[in-house]
Amino acid sequence: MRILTISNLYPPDVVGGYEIACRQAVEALLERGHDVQVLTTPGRSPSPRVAHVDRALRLTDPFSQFVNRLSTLSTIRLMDSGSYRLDAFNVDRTFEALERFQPDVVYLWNLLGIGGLGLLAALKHRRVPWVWHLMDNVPSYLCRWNSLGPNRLIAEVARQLRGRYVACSRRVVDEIERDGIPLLPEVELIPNWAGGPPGSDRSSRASSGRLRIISAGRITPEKGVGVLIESARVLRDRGIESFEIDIFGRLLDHEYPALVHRYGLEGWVSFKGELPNAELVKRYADYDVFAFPTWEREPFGIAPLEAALHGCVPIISRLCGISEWLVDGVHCLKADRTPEAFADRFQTVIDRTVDLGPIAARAQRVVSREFRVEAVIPRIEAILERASRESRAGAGSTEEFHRLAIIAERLARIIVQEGCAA
Amino acid sequence: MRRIAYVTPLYFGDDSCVGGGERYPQNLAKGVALSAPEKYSVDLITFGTRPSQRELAPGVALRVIVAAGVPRTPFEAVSWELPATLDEYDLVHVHQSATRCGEVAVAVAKQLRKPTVITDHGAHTSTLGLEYGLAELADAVVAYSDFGAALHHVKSTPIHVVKGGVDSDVFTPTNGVRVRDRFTYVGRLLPHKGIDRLIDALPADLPLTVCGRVYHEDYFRLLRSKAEGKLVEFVTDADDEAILALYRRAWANVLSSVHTDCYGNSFVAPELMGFTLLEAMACGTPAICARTAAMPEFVDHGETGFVYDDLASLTNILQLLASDSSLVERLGRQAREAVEARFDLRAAGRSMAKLYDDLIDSESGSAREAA
Repeated sequence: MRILTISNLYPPDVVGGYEIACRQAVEALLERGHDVQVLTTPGRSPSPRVAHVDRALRLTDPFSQFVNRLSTLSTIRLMDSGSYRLDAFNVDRTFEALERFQPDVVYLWNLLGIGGLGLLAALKHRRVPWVWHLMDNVPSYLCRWNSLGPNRLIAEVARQLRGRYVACSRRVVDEIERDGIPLLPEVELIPNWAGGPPGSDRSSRASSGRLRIISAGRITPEKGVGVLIESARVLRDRGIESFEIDIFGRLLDHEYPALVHRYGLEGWVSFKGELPNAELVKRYADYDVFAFPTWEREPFGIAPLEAALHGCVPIISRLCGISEWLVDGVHCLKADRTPEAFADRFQTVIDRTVDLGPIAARAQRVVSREFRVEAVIPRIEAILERASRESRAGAGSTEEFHRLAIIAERLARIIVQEGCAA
Repeated sequence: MRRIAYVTPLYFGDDSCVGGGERYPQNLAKGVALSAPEKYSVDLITFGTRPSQRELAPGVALRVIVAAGVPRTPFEAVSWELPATLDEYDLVHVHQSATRCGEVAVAVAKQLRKPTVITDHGAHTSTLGLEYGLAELADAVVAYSDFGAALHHVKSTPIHVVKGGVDSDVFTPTNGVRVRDRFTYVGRLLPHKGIDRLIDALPADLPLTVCGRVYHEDYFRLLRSKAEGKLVEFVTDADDEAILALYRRAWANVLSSVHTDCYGNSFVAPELMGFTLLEAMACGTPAICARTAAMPEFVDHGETGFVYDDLASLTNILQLLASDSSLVERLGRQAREAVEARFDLRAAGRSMAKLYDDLIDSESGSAREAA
């Protein structure tokens, strides 16, 4: 198949696992003999040129909280308009790629920051079949509209949007559909996957006498860093001191070290900074458990899978995406998202109520077998193939939609600015 | 049954009206529905604070959808409901295409892949469409005069001229004995209508009734000042019946619109048709118009009325008609015949229905249905 992949970012620049998974999927499809082109943006930092990656799209960066905080309301709304809804330039670049590459199917990833709704409308206009890989609630984000009352844009998108979807968890599907966008006519649940080779067998592990806990990812309230620090305090207050928590990731909020200091947890909780993913996964072998006290609307969570692949047992929030795929006590340990519940789970390991060895072995096996890109790519391939067979009858012209996109973009800008001035 | 949507920021009624540009879509809708009652229904889609729907005529309904926010003028009205609403129709005809309302409607209709027709009624509140070639998106442009057609600069979109659209069942000659005792002007009281020039040309002994709503207080003051010492009557609150009665008692109905008004303001298209000329003609009353914009296309000089070039000529024409009742009756009769043959809404409706048929049946329309 000729597959045009569209993603807002593509490694090396990533926000999280979504973009890394995109590259892994692309490379897996290439390995299986497909002709794959990636249409993406230059990202936010220089990227090396890669033959199958066309960085012709423009990114209206929605990720900089600093810029958003300092921008005027009008600027923010205009950025939202181009970032989420329609960017006529990106429509033009997409048409150019479609014309040049003549794909059988378009494989969509994260469309934030590139005027995703406009791209979807463009594909609809040209009757180009697509499959949208959803690792987050991107459809609803694209409809974000800062106005009072019901979000009428969601209603309209729900009315018109029809396509094939891959979603990483039921949670993601439910959230999108709860927001009012039915994923019709087809959505298939395919879990995220862990990259890299498996680590060594750690079913018989030597005890260091201390429970070694690792956490990695964005250091934000949503990811549960506060919960983790609080759980350390609970353990220490229970008189349990044989543990250490190392937190990897870029530290943007210095409130957390302050919290550690305030609780006097310096001997137990450490911030280790950010590591490249390849180096980070090697570190998992040095730890007993991977703590993942993430929020309920976590779409999935790739890091716990990578930890499991290296024999590091995930202890995860009971309600989150990855929790749907792993069995408590078999492949992981689950806890309610409270400091006490996580402290309880840590304590069961420390006092050997739970034997980590068999869980680590089963987790490593199941991740090696089922949560690998090699394992899921045939299913992705099948849905791409089904989509590619869709009729393209009734396709509108490129010129027509391009003009339409320009006019719609200008109209939207005017209306947005008038709304801010009112 | 083929359903046609007429998107119009204004409609002809007590709640919403500017001029002939609003009566025209309504009449055209009636004409289309009358031309093929089993085949076509037309809904006028407009905007308001609450939704409503009511029948205006057989096969013609007025559908009000809720406007988003509070538009500064009706021409800027847009609605979140527009896409879902337009999706119900087989074809979208956007009236007042050079307005925000019209531009959004065209964009929505084309995004929905609907055959789309546009008509400019002279409300040019936005140039965005002009700058970015909005008309190229349309499948057809409908102008109601050759003059109007010439104003469109489109490369690929065909322009169809469909003249007229007056309801000759409503505007009819009187059944009884006709008494004619005045000239009339019917229309909005605005500077580009050149009413000041008409009053200037009016002989002191001939009566003129100026009938229309006041939209420009300074101009209205000017008109009253010029009317001093002349037999000019102003009627600013006439209803349809009163207007009909005025047409019937007139020696002629005069439209003296200008490209440059008394304040020096220029107008590219002061009249795209001159609807009140046709209404009067339908009533069997001769029409007099300046040789301005589209108006001469509708008045056959010496046959259905007169076309004048200067005020001296206008004065002569007024004196001639006031003194020659047989000429008035002959011109009036021929004016009525011209309307029935060429400018009646049924004739316009037939032309429009043919165009709609072609567009809906065209390749793009068929492909859209197949998809």
